[in-house]
Amino acid sequence: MKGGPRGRPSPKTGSGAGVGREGGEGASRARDAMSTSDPLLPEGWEDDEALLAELQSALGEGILRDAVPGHRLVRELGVGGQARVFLAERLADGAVVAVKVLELRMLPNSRAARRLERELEVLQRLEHPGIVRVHEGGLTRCWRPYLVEEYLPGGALKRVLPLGAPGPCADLDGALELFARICDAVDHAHKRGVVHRDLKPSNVLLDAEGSPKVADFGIAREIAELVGAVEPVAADTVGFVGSLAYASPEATGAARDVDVRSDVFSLGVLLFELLTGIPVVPHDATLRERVLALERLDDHLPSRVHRLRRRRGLLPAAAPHRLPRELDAVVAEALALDREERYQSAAALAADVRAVVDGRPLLARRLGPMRRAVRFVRRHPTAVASLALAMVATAAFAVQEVGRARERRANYAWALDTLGVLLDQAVAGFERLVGGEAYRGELLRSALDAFETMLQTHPGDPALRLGRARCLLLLGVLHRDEGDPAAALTAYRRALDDLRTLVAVPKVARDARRALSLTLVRIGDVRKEDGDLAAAERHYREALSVDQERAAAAPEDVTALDDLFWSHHRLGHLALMQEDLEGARRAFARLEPLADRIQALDPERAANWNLFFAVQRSWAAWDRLAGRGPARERLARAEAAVRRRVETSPGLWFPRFQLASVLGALAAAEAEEGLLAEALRHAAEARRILVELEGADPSKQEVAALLLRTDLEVLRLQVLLGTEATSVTRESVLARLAEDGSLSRLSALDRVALLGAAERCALALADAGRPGLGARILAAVLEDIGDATTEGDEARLRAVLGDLERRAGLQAGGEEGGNR
Amino acid sequence: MEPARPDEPTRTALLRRLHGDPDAEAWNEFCTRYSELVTNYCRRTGLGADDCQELFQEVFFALFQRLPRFRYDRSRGRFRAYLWRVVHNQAMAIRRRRGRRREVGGTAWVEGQASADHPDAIWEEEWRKHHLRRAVERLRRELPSRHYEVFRLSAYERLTAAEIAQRCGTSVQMVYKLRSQAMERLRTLVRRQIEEEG
Repeated sequence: MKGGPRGRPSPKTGSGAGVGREGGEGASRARDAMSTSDPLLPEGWEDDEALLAELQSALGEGILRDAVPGHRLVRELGVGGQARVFLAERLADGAVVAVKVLELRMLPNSRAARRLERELEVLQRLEHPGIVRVHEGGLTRCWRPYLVEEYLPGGALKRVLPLGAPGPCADLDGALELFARICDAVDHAHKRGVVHRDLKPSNVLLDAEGSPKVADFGIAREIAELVGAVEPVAADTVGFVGSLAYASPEATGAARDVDVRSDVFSLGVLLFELLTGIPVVPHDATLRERVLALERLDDHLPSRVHRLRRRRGLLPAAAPHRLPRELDAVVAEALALDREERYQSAAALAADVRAVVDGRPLLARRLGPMRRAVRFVRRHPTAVASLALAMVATAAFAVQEVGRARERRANYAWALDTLGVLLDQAVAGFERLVGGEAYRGELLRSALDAFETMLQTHPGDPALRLGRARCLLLLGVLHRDEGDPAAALTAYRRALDDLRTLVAVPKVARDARRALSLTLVRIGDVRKEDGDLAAAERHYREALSVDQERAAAAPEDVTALDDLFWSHHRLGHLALMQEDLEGARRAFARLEPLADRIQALDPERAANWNLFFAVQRSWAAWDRLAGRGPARERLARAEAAVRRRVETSPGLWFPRFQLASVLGALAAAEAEEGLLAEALRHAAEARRILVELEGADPSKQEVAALLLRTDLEVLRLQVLLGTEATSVTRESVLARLAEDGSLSRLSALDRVALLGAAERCALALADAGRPGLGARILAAVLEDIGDATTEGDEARLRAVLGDLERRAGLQAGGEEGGNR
Repeated sequence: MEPARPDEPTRTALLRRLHGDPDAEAWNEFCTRYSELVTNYCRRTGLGADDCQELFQEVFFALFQRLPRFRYDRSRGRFRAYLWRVVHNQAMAIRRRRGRRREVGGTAWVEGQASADHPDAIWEEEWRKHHLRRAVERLRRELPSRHYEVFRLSAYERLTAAEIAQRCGTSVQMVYKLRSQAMERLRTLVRRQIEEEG
């Protein structure tokens, strides 16, 4: 045998010798190609015509033209990611067919090939006017799987045509019927045990009449997965075969657990695109980005379809057909992330789409926005965090693109907008929602990360620095709510450093001033809670002056007026704490006019109740300190204001807390006037609300503090009334006090208030002949938080405790007996 | 040399991967590369369709066994020669087996119509086509689809520049330009392939 085809066996293949020489680097470069003799290139290939001739023989002859048994390939119709499609002639009868040859190979008699045969048998049994007929299939001579299918000259929907585009989607009813027919075809296959698994526009072909026909059932992806040939769509999608843009969450998840409802999801993506003209997620999104985008969509979908259409001008006022609102519900249900919440079959989806056309009632359950939000929070404990990551990731990407992109401003603004949405969600959505506390931290931390990252590529960018400062501010609030004032101060101070310089940057000055005011106020709050009233006042005053400037600059800016209101409010209460009646009066006198002005400027504003509530409570506190008698009336008015709010929005945390707080104050005022029964009723209601709030979110320390005080007050009132009624028992109070660390997280202010309540309660118990119980309660409180008081106070309380214990000792026998 | 596209490992890299620990993915890639070449060659040297499939499997099996020991070394011989030896040996082995079986039956052992060309020449020609197919495949992925379409219509359909211009809605000059760019790129790709594997 010869050593190899090195020689020059025929003139035709004379290139062998040339190849044998190492031609050197330069010879391999394209720019040298025009030289007459290229040692690396086979002879004759410098000439275009000669090369073309040889190309045709290489490409045309052997590979494919005789590769599919019984067929003659006429011409290539198209090339897809995994297959080439040819127009072919069936030799037996001359019929024109389409032959699809997959770009992979499998050995005959292999497991994959046997599976292919079984799949083919199933596919050949699918007979439906909406399904592309599969005539036969097998392996080509070169062991590529091929399918012989019905040839449809109408071509595929390359993309879903937006409604109103010329063609089959010109009118709403026609487009919906087209879509429903796609659903029918898919359902037909489902009923025969075939899941499509790769529904997308390019798999929907149109026949000569424009009727849709679905192609490629299951088979392409099935085979690709069998052979292990996977398309590297993106770094994080290794192992996924198919079109990401239309795939359901479960299809791209780790389990690859796909069923008919996965096709329903893909149909939902088609419908969304049909209605809005844009894909649910960008076609080039990575797997992670799209999963997260879908989660966001799940929450906001219903209004989104309409908004998008309006924004894209697809919903002109003079349109002959208005898009029925019901479609939103249909899209939302088809796109539900949890397949249990989706339409359970393509037939159900088709039925609802036709119901919209005919104006019949839907099967889809429409969730109210509030229920959806609550469900979302309950159902996706981590989705919120992931959602934040997605948004942040996209935004970060967008900002990185800024440098390169020509439309710098647009992208940039978009990125910041996205982050703005994220932050608003963090604040509005989760701070206020009952049970939403847990998500806030994750959201904020990921947002902060994103800003830090972006600042590395755009150092000093004012908008990014502002964003970071806002994150820090919100994070500080979170730390404070979690009972970590030191961490809160650290975050606030970092925010403050940026904000003080940012207020001088015209582009962001307005927002920076607002953030500066909020930060100062929050620092003041922490200081006040720590008992450093002078520092608190300094910060409040600075915030006030910032707010005054803002309000002067924009007299109609409700936000600035609102901030101004609360700065006055804080200063007033601080003055009350220092028993500066005149200072408090001056501050409180500003409140009502501001509240009126805000109400006049924006009567619809949801938070207005809180202003009037605060006015009443502030004056009530002032009256009380000024010795003008109990402030029951004012408190009752405040109670009425907040109660209305609670009734209209029972899901919000803050009004309920305020209600409990004002009921507690009302109870105290009533008790002072000797209206013990009413006081007990109000205190018990406050307690009930607080117990609910604590159950929903145990991490809020102000709830815990107020609940303890209310417990003590209820116990005291019960004792005073001589009833040991139902709601609070001394055991429950003692158990609460005995909980490890339950008191140590309280702020200094709360500790002082709690000590006062404990003292009052203990004395009441002693007066009612129960000094032992009073002593135990006071002792428990003192043990945990006694160090929070001044030395004088502690000595006094210790003396009270000693007295109680002595009295208890005198009547020890009797009390012991009474307890049993 | 230009850097290889990340989605298409160079043959050298492929062979290195095969050497030592041939993972399934590399193997699949290897089959995709060379099966057409091997099959075409066998058909032209006179083996029937069944024999071709058998040989195909044998060659793969043989390569699979040998490649872990085969050190790819440009200076010591090209992959083209190496593969040809394996294929040729396997073809001879099949013929010998077939021959013994046929001798019993007394019929000719050659089933298909063997080409008049020398096996070396056939291999050489098929190797050229192999390079062209690979390069075109890569070109298809590299070029924008419109650009590739111009090339495809020239190479597959043999349409004239005027016809292509009409079909693609562009000028004849543009067609010439795009086509010659594509051909130039094709040559570059072929050169690179030849440098790598002979």
